[in-house]
Amino acid sequence: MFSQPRLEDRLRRNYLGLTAPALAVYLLGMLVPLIIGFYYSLTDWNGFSPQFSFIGFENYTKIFRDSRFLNSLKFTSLFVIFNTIIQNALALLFAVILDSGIKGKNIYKTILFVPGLLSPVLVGFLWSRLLGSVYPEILVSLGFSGSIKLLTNPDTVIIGLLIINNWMWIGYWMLIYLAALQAVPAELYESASIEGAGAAGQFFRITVPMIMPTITFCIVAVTLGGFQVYELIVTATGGGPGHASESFIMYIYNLAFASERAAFASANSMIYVVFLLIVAFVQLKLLNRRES
Amino acid sequence: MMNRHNRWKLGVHILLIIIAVFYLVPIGMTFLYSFKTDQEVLTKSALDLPERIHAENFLEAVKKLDYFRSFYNSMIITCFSVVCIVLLSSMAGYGLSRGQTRIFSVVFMIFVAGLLIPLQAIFVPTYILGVKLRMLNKFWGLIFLYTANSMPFAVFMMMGFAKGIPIDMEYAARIDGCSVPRIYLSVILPLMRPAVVTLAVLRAQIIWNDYLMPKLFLQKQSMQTLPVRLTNMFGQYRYAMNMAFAAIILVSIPVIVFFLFNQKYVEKGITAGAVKG
Repeated sequence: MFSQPRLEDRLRRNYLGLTAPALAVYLLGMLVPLIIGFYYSLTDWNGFSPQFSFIGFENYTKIFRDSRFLNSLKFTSLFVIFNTIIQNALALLFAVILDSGIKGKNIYKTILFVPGLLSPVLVGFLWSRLLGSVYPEILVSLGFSGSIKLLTNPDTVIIGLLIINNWMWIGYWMLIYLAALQAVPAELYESASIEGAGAAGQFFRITVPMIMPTITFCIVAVTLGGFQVYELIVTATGGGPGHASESFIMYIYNLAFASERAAFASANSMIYVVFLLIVAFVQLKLLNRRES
Repeated sequence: MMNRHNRWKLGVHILLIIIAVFYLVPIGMTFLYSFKTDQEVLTKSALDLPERIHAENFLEAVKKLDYFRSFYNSMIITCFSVVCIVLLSSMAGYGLSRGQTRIFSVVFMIFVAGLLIPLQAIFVPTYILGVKLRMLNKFWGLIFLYTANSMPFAVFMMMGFAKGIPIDMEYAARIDGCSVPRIYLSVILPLMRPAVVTLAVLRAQIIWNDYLMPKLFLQKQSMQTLPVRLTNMFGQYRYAMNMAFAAIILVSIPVIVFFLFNQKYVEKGITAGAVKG
């Protein structure tokens, strides 16, 4: 005797069936690489030879004594810190300005946003030429002298890259802040101005608390994006001068494909994933405390 | 005498103009240089206009980039990836939004956990997987990877949207004898259109501009995408700035035109999920 399965059971199976293809593709394309990466990080595999042996956690202990790793960690961290501050501060500033009922709002919005549409490799090359020869020439023809070739000096290369990256992405985050600002009820500002709060007072007492969830989101997302910086640098400096602008991802890429140290590169990737999770977790903890 | 309000406004306008100049000078210089001859780049100063409009740089760039083939490659990869992403994520988003039991929330959490892991973080093991599964130099391999890596964000977004679709319509369809897959196709998917278009435009942008994955997975020159060809060209002709700038224009114009036509969706997509309320 077979009984008809209950309607709920049948529906549930159908809903699971609809979810299954996405889950399968996601697990194979993302979770399996994570497992593979961890597996190979415990070996001494060079990336192509059929033979390799297990060496336990040796790769992991080696990482923190690797000077190029430490160098890329230092560069990437500095880049992320300044990038997160500059990008969020200016994006919010521009959003506040554009939200204040200024003329030509849509034109400015589009101008600021367009660089974010372009391919980072293209932007990196474009700016390397602008900073390397076009702008210095313009300055000379305007009567200034002295060198401003930011990208060829190991001390200033990070400034150049920060300018490029922010030129590219400020408009993107500005759009998000703009949407958040427009969701703040106008009555709040009206009652505050009746109470005599100035522009700065309104900003810190009303705007910031009201858009705090968006600020949290943007800070975490810009941080995550900063840690991934790679393509821009490939064409802007190639990691140079020397290894002065070699980011985390670029270092891992070079390990895996130029130095043929696939296992060591895998260990670096694992450290990187854990590192990203910790940073995001700490940020969310700190910022959520401020929100409530 | 200006009052305080007007002075503030004037200051803001001056600031905006400075910002606009900072943003537009690179674009202006790109156009200016793309029309210069090699001779003019070397001997004339940066701000000098080219003597006449030279189209040679553009023709040269089309040839060096193998522009039409690279464009076609980028197009195929982007379109197929976006279709797969939209289909799989809308199905899953719908399924997850209707399922009531614990397993659905567990599966949803598994998807969301992937939001924090960017493709760049796992590209070495992903490449190893690609070699093992013979994905190299195959468009489907790249399409599969883009689909897989888009799932966390896409499912998250689609699930949020599907939740807002009232279930009453499905009751009516079910009484008419429609199965769940049928309801998804004829009732839910049409209703999800706004979210689908937004997601598609947003992902298309990211996939079109990607460099690292196509560089690793498509090593055959005839299969390479625009960003990879462009980067190779920058490397090969390091000093031909005018031709490079012409190539930059050729590569950017389609993207910018696409954006101007879809501005509404791009803006919605970027702000969706980021702004509560």
